[in-house]
Amino acid sequence: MAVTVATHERPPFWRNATVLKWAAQLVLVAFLAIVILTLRAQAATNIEDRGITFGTKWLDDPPLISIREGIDLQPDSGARALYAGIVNTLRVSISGILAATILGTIIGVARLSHNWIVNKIATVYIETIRNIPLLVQILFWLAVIQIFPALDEDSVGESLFLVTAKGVSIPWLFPAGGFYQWLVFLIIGAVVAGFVYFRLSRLKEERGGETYAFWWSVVAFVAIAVIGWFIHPVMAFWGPIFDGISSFFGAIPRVLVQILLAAVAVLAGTLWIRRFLESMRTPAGLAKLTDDDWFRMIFVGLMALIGAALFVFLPGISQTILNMVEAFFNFLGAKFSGESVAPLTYTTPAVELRGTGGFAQLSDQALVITPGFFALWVGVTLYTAAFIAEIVRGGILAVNKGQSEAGLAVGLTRAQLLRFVVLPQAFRIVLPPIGNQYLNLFKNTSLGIAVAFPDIVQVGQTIYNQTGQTFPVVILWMAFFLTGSLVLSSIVNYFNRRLKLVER
Amino acid sequence: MAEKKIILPEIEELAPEPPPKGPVVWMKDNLFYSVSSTILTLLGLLIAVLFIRGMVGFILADERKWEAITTNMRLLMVQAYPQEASWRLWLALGIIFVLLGLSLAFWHAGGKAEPRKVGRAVAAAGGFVVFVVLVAPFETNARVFGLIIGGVLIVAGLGAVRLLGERAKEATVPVLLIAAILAGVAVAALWLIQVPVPDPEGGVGESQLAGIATTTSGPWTILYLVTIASYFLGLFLRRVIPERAGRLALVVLWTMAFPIIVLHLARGVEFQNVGQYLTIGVAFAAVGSLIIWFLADPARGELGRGLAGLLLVIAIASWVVSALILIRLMLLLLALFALGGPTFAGGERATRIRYVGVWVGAVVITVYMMLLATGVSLVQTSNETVFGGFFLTWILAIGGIALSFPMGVVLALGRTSTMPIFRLLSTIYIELVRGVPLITWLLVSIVVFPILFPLGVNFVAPAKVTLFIAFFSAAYLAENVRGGLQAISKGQTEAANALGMTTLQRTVFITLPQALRAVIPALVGQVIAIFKDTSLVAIVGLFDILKIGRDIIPTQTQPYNFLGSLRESLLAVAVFYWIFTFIFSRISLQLEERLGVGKR
Repeated sequence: MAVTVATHERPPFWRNATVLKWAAQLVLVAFLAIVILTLRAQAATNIEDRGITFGTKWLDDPPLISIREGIDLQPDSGARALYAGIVNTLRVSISGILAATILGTIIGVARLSHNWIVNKIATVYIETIRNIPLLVQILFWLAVIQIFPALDEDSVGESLFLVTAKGVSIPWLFPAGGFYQWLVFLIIGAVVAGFVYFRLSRLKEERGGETYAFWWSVVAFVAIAVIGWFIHPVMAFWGPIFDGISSFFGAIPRVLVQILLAAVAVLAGTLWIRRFLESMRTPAGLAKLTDDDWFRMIFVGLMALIGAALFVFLPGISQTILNMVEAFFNFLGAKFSGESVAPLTYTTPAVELRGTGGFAQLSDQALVITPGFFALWVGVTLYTAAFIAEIVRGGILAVNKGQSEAGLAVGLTRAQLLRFVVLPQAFRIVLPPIGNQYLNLFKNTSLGIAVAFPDIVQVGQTIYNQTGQTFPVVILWMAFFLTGSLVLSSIVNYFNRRLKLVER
Repeated sequence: MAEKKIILPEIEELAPEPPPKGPVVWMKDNLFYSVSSTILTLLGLLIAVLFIRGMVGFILADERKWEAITTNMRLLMVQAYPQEASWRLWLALGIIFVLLGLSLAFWHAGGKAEPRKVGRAVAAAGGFVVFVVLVAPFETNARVFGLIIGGVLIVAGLGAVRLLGERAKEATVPVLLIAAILAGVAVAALWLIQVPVPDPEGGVGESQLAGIATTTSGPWTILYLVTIASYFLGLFLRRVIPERAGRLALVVLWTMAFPIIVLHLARGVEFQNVGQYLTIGVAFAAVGSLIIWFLADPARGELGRGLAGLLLVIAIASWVVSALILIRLMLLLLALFALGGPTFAGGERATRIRYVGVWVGAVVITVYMMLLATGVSLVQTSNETVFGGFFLTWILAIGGIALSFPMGVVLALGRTSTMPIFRLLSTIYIELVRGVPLITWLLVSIVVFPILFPLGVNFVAPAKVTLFIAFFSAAYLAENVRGGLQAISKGQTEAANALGMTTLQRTVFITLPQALRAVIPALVGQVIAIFKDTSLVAIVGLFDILKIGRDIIPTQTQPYNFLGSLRESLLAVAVFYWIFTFIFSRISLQLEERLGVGKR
């Protein structure tokens, strides 16, 4: 019987695991490249047949659309229309996230209540809302608003609250001429309030006794805000400063920005690789690098070089960034007039005759919550709240039972126990899954398309229906949602890291 | 010094049963235990009463047009599917229910319920009925009727508990029996309940009473009996054939049921190019068997893998040159089988014979699928396809999940792979798909996807949408499976390596089965999510149940005037979705308990 003896000869290349693995990966890349190139070629012929060329011209051209609500109802360019859509998406997302968090926490706590009827109501809410598709709910809320009175000539006039089939209108404070000058005072007030809070909390810890840190900081903020309301024109000196910054950015040569950005890209890549190598260093010298490690370093380096090349060879990117910064400071500069105009204007709801036919409409002087916004906002808020409630419930149950028992033992009431012992600890557990729900809510606002709410998806669809620029619009959608998801998850991750239990 | 062990008696056995608490004590403990709880209770009671009053008042209001739902039930379920072909769908349902009955028997489904709990549940339901009847704005007749029903339920429930007394502790009721009784009540309701149906001869607004399901109560009754019969057949078969083999056969049948029902039975396919496809199939089955037999032989060694790799290159090349899709698919399949040979069939002769058998089965299935895909539908509707209504919702959900499952597993393996390019590509795919909402992907499937193919190639809308739902779901599934893969202890992989397993063997036989088992509840959650998400296809113009309920029924003016029935039809649609998602979520909970996930 032959006995195989282990030898240290290298295996032939067709049995070498490293070679085989790389071969398999390269085969996949080649296959994907073939598929993508074939589809691209086909797409190119099809587009040519339809007489369309994809490009970016539509971003500058005036679109033939009017947007139902938002910052710009008659946008003068495709880019501006999309921007108005983005603002609408963010409006629903942010207000929805706030409302869903509050409602979800209340229901989650109610779900664990000892009170039988409160408990059951919370359970019924969760089991109903979670098991019905969000789209059905949104459409249902849109149908519900139709039962409110319709508008006609007779309803013209003002009133404090208007709930109609065309939307809800409530009194509102809108920023007016002096707002930005007042805003400077508000920022100063916030900084001072923060400082006061910090100092008084320190005092409380050092000397004991109640210092009412929170209330004093509120007093400080309100005082500065009230004083600012009357003397805000003194902040007019910011106007020329912002104008100066704006013209400074206008004067910077584009080449400088290109070089700067390219240098930042290269530097970031280099730093990453250096840090990576540092982490590989052991007391016995550099650890052996696997081919995976090499791949990471080469990949990052390549990405940095590609980024740098993009900045160098596509001057448009740098130019756009420069223009945006310049326009931003220009905008700020124009807002500081020095005249004594009230920072805010108070408006009340009204019905007026508008449009060519003289139809009765809600006046857009006051805050108008359109049926689309109402349906979408109520829909995503109630839906997400049900999921958040389940997460909160799980989080509370996951807090060690000894904590509650210890809290009760030192004489806390049930409310105090929840507020000071259980919820802070549960918060740490529930933050990552709730962050996921925020992401879902953000993406679900795209269902506004079904209720004609002009979010980025609806505006984009209208644009490509007119111009045929499907592919560029889709790319912009993806860029927007990916960026939004990234920003949201970085915020959640930041808090997650800050709240992490520091273990000894 | 050795510690002395004190053996404590098991407390549960000795502790006396707590004395039964009266309702007053219960209320004091659970509703009025403090001032704030009393306020909360009253507030909650107010909310509950107002909600029930509002809901029932809405449902019973005179201007509600519920006949819009009952008249259009057919439309909601199958949309334009022709009535004369509806036997096909009933037959399809029959297949599913037979499989269901058999599976319930073979997987020992359903536990035992305590009769006391069942009795209390019945009594609680009766109490709820009484409460609703008392607070809601019913007419006197309906109120009396409701009170009688509620009273009967309470008396029956509590009476059963009292009668059983001590015996109730040991006695058990099979859950399946309860389910069968409930389903029987539902089927009986189809025969008994009368609803107002608009009179075709009468004027607008006039209606007459008719059975709730005049055309479908017969088929449903038959299906009900068939299910029960097949359950008992399953009980019998379980004793005759080995359980393992029966389960395997059922899994295969379940897997094949979807394409057979959707693509074959529901469409009534007239096959095209049968001769050509059969010839290709037979040729591949024969030649392929020989090749696989030859290459999988352990004696081939290196040569086997080399030749299999060559086959893979040929298969990929066939996608660049012009060839029949069937041949391309077959070549790819053959290459994969050849590559997998040493892993799955290396060794004994019997395994190799079985492996070749699986190959022949795969060829048969592929040819059948291609025949179905290229066949012409005999059932004709005014639509692009025969699928619509709730039927379409189910097709999209099941098709999406079934297609996304293999994709998700591959992506999860890719993301946890040690090979950087696989990992990079999988990560990019998963994050890109998950970061963007489903509705944008559906819009892409309708407006961008067709641009990628030659003008002659035209996918029907449900196919495109199913494909993109699958792409979307795969990314989420991959993350679930990844969670399972990462939960496997390192010892498992190390043990597999120590046994000399290859990477493929380790993945298929050791890690994947454990990972999939751990994530089964998460997968059911994914099924629920996809089932709900299918409602989005209404936005891109497919006639699913939501689109019909929202855009068709409330706009009907002929022969009946159903204008303004939007809220009614949306509520009905919501109820249909709710029933099934609720059942799924209960199944998910049961599985979680049965598998003991998170309990170790």
